[in-house]
Amino acid sequence: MSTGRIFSLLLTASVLLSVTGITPQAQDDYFEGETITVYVGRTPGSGGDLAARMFSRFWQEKIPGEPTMVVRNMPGGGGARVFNYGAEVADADGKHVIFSPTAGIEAVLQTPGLRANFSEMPFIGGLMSPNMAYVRTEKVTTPEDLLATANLRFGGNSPIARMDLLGRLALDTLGVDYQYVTGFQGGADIFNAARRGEVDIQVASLGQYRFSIEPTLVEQGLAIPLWHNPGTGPDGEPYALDVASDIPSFEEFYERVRGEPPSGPEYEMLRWVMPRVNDIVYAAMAPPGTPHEVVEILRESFAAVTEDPAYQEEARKMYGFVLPPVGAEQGTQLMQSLYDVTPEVSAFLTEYIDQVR
Amino acid sequence: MIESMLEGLALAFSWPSPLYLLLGIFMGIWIGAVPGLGGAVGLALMLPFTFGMDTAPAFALLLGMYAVTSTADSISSIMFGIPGTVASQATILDGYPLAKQGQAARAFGAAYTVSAFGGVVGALLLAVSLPIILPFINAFGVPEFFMLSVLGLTMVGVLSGRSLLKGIAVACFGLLLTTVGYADATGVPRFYFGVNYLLDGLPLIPIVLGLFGIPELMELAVKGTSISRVAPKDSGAAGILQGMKDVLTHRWLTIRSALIGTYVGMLPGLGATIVDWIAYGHAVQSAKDKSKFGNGDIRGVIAPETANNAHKAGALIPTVAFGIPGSIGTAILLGALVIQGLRPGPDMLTFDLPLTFSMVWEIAIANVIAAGLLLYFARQIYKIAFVPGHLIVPGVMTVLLMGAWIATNSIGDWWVALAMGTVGYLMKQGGWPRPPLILALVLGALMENNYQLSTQIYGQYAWLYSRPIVVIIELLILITIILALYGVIKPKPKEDSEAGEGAAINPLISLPVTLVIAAVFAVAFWITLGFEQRATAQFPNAILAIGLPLIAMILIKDFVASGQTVRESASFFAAWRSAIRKAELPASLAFIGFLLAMFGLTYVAGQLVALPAFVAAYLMTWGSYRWPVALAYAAATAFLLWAFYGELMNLLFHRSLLFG
Repeated sequence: MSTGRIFSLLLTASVLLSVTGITPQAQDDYFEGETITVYVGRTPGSGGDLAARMFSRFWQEKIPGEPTMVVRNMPGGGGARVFNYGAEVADADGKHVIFSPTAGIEAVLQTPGLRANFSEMPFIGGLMSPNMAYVRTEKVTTPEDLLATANLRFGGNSPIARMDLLGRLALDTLGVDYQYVTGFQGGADIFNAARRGEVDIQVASLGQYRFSIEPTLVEQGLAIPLWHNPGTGPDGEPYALDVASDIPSFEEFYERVRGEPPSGPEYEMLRWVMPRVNDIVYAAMAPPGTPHEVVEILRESFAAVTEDPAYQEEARKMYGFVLPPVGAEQGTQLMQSLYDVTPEVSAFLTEYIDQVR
Repeated sequence: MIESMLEGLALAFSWPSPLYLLLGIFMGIWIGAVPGLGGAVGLALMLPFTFGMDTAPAFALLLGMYAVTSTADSISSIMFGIPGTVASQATILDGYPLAKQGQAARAFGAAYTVSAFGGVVGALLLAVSLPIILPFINAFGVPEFFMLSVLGLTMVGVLSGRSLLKGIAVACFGLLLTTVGYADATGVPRFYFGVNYLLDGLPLIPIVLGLFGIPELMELAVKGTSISRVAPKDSGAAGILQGMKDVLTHRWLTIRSALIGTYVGMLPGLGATIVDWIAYGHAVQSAKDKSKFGNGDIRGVIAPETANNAHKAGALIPTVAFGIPGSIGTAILLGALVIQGLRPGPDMLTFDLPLTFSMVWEIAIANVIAAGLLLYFARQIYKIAFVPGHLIVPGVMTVLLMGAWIATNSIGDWWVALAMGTVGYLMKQGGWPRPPLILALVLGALMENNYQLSTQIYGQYAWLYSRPIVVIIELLILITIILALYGVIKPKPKEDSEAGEGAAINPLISLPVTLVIAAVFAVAFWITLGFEQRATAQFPNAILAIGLPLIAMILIKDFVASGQTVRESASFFAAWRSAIRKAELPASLAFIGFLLAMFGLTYVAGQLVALPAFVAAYLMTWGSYRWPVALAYAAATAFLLWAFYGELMNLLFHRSLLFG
């Protein structure tokens, strides 16, 4: 091999290395002594913030080189600002990671403020935050009563809030006679109103159910659980969640009270919406252009955390169960599906939300 | 019950809990003293460290910190006129004027004595109230919350300043500002003009710090004096002792304020934000001689400082007994509770009652210890009031701006703080009271949501007359307004005094403020015409229905008063020159220019360069200090920014053009 050829090969290799930033041999020590900044689009102390802080403590130990992870808060834009930052500003070197509640419904509806395209951001890993519906026993004492009782009040935060949309679609699928009462500032507010009897039905996070609703309402005979929103398998079919095995999935609940599988346009929309806005609640993503090798390191370490018994024990303490993980492949597909919105789906959703505005 | 209380006390003193309680107290004092931080930030940072701890020490650490932030926050409220946390806003109305009069030590003496008293009495009241707590909390639904907000706003609107009209109009202005961003009831963004920063609404902390802090720092810079306009009359210890004696003199006010703090504090979501204002309003209403309120009346410190500590124990009960956190701070405590394997619910008031009592004891003990420590330190802290103002301004401005920055880590926070600082300065000079604006900003979202929820749940109007507590609160509102109209309860600053909030008389400066508010109202009205959803427009329209006629009346009054001023002067220009001189406008604008230059440098080189550069430039130009002093101060500022805000708080600094 001529000297000139060797030189050009070396030059090409060095250019490639400088572009990707790492070599296969260097992967193990790429993060050694480094700091990874984890951006959260919520204020300190909020659920999203605490979830990121807790997960990061375990995550930094699983990454080769054991870098230091630092959580930084970047709230704003209805949760969109942190993703815009990740897509437009943050360095794509693996040392900057977004780990925040996703904005799936905002992406589907193209709400103002969200410029980031999730399908262009490498998906590292995600966590699902299961949720469930309950009703006060003042008017409804058995699941079957739900269909026979008129003018129940369903409390919510906002017509475009994830759990409000899921709750309305489920209640409409069931054919429940209800009034949608919206404008509460968070799940705790709705729960408080339910305790006072101002609302009858709430869709709540499973964590809130385990730690507040179950001991203070259900165990006191003041409320009964109805259903939990299921996960969606790779085949697109819903499956009941193990962490909520004591509460039927929506499909199981529907069959019990209606005697047949659910169907109809609202149910079709529920099935379309569910994986997109409910299967990933906390998503870790990298800025577009982050080297593939670095993303892989982060993916493997993220997955390793979700299998770590120490993490699982702490998650059980914090939530009462382990948040079901979402793998990179599934997450990537789900993020891409946010932009696979047909004009019919878009029109249905827009009209459905506008009905209650 | 008594047995459970004693068991709780024993739990609170079981080793190593006292050690962690002390640690929490020290951290709480630090967090409360730095404007903008607040207890929630500290709790969020500390929570992960409690995961592996036993229950008693974990709660000792967290509750020690949670309890004392509202004791330590009076340092910046009294010394600099900047609320340390949201719970000490009312304290500045009389605390800061006392510092200006050289009586900071007296204010500290009173504030810390009643903080300890409030904390202990709040805990005791809670213990005897346990049987009635559930019915009491349940009696307050969304209509009651709405009306209570209206009462708080009305009290502050009519109590602060000379003008009832201006008080209510500026409250409407504040409420309108809270409608910026997403409307919860419809999910439709309003008044955001395509600016993403505004989608979440205007952040409260930069507004509070800007509105109150920047005008006071501006005044210190322009006047070139120390905070105290008079020399120290006596030693710090004597002042502190005087403050403690004041508490004894006003013991019944202290007890009533503790009652207000405890029971209002139990109302989730509302208590922490409104309790100090309601106590302050009560102090003014119940006083025979109201002339000194706003000018340094010690009762104006005693009432809010008692209430904001008494509410801490009260706020704990809905959290542990019903799983209803009323604030981010109590939400984090709820998280800590479940992480420790406890479940909130009636069990916490029965089987686990000793543990609940141990928490209440820890709050009471923390309040007493913190008050003792701060009383000891106050002998030194009060001396800051006599330090040359030019040495105070750059350091406090740095802390203020970084406090504002904590809101969203965005340069928009600084612009909001500066804009509100400028508005606050003009309001102060033009005789516009600022407290109603702040309280409106605190309560606006709650009011809108509770109003809309009331109409959805209870019908359009029925809830206004069918719910007894609502009717009682309506009567209180009516009485407050009637008494204010007759001048019975409104504090009347002495005619020769323009020191009180909203007491300045300068119609030519008031007029531009009126015009700006009128323009904002007009533009908002025009925009609301285009809202497609009724619920999106409902609250802004309700505010404008009250605000527009009021601002029109104020406009007429200001025009008449301005005309009078011009006629009394040699010429139109002479009147303006006099008004501008009185407001010290050129020097104030120069100060704003300094801040703008620093903002510009932040875009280019970032905060770690811009803020120390501002400190050095300010000291050398405004303060005429020599370069070694300026350099040392700037270096200390850079270290504070890097070590505290960068490394410890992990704040994200602005990405600059030069350094990324």
